[in-house]
Amino acid sequence: MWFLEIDQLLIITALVLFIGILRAIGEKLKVNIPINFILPVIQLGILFFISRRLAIFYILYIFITYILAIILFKATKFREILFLIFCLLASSPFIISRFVNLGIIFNTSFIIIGIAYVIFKVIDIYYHIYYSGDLINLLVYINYILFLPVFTSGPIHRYREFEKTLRNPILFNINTLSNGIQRLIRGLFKKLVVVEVLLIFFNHLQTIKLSWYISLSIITLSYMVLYFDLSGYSDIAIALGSFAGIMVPENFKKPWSAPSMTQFWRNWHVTLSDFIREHIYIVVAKKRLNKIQAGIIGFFTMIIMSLWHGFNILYIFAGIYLGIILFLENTFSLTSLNKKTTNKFYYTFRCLLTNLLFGINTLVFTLPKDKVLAVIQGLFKI
Amino acid sequence: MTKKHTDIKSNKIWSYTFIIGFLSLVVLLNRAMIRIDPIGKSILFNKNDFEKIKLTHPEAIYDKVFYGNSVVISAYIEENSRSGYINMGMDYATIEDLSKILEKQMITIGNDLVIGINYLTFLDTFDTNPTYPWHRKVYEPYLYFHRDKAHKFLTDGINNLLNGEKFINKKYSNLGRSVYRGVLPDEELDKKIERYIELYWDKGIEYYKNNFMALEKIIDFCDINNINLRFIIFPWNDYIEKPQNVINVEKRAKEILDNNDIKYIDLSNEYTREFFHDLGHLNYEYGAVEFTKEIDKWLIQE
Repeated sequence: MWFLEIDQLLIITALVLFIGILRAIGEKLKVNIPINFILPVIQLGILFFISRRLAIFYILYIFITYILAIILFKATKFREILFLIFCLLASSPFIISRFVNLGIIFNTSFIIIGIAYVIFKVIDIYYHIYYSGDLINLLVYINYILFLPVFTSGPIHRYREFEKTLRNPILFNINTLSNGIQRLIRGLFKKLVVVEVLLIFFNHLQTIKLSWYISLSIITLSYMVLYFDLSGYSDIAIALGSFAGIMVPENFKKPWSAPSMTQFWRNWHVTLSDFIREHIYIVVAKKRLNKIQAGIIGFFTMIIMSLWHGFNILYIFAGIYLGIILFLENTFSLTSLNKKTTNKFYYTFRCLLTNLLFGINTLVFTLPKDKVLAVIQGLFKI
Repeated sequence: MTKKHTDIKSNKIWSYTFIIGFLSLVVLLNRAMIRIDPIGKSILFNKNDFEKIKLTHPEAIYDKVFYGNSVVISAYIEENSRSGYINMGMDYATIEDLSKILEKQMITIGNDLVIGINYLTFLDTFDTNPTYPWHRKVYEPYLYFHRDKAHKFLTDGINNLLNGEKFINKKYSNLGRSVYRGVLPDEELDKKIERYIELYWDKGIEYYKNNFMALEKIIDFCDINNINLRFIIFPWNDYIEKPQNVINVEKRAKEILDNNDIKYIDLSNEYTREFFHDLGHLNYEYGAVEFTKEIDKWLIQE
């Protein structure tokens, strides 16, 4: 996690402030400063500073994936097959890295930090080329892949959004700076203080004999740890992005107020679930689907999402668990609930239930395998 | 002026006030923390050897200093000594560390500086204790640098409360540094030798470059500040013959000292197995007592 290392946080902050100030100078003097060129050059320099092997990997990765993008753009035959193969090829470093969970280790001298998020961007580019028929400008492509504030942990920019904000950047002024600093403080506070304090209570609860209320407290704290950790990181990324003039999408929007899992995924790690929905759900579901079909697609969406988090049995079970919930919601028309027309108590109950069900899933991220099962069993002990 | 204009203006004023106020607060608080050094000075936090020395020797000027790594801690018994040198032996201390201590004015030496050396005090890749304060980079805030200690303090405190105890139930009031007692049996010494061969004894002279440069700096510093500088080449256990790289390092150090007309005493072959705990540390019950008695004569005479 780069933002917890002061050297790296300061370097990235200095970079985005420098870019912001350059933009402001360009605006003031009405001069065209080649920021889209300066930004990736400095970012590559920072990658070299962090690790030479990391920088070399991304230079090669960008080069190869861009060539594939050109091939896809120029292809007149077998476009669909090429599109699928190129998506797989772009994801291959990530997939190979996940084989470690299966005990298969590939010796490589490269470092591939950030690849889990970068593959989404490349896949998005291939979708864009495949469906719109437009080729992406190389400089924009490099900027898109290398944008450091979101490089290691998102939020996930989609190409259209990124290109738009790169073309019309946020103006760097005293208000942007002030708001950004406040957001940065909020993010760091969540990660460095709130998460740490919650973890003390979380770890303490694990030393107590499990019963339904202890298990429930562990699940609640697990949910909160994950929420503050991820949303804190997103706050930092959004703040740093705004300094450089790049609008970074929000990732968390009051997930606790979601009355169904379908709605929950529109509020939790939004950019990931949006990406999955747009790239898998919509593309696969080309025609109008019945409830069962929609449920099946929802099920596999969850499996893929869980596998993205990790190739092990626990994540597969988590994916099946979340998939079954989505399947049932779709099948029994429970995907949405109108707050205005629904009984207040029932609405609150549904929100609590949704968050509890998701909270159980968060144990996979915060506890070792044996403890996950023990905590779930604890729910049934008086 | 429209309401929109008034809002923009008041937003601007708030933004300026916030940024200037926030930055001033951060800078001032950090400066104050560095100056007061609450984590370094309070016994509520775990102490490294440098902090222990500072707490046991609160005087502003250290008139006579005997600096070195853990072999100095374990060899020179300050309380038994008549020469009046402060034992400034610190775990993993190198010559470069001393150079930084002097450069950053973390101690002020009055008249005499004696440095106990062996090949490890010159090894550039030798482990260090990252909590030594000279490792703090200029841009690292005080609390960030001490994050591990602060984190442990808060975590332990909250855990104590959760267990129905007081927030603070542990104080690090023992300011003694680690010494080595007894004589290690052959099997354990052999294991150590195996480890040392792997870690240290295959390193060429290029691995000592920075510390030799630091040595020259210290010589210059003492010359400018009129500090009497001397060196002690520390005893080597005759259980095993000195490896070639250790001989090379000692030879290079002696060359530098001779070129600068610096006095030193070579004790590397003066002590036999029974004086040692392991390969370089004298044992505290016997070796250290003898060493202190003998070195005192040299320290006082010279």
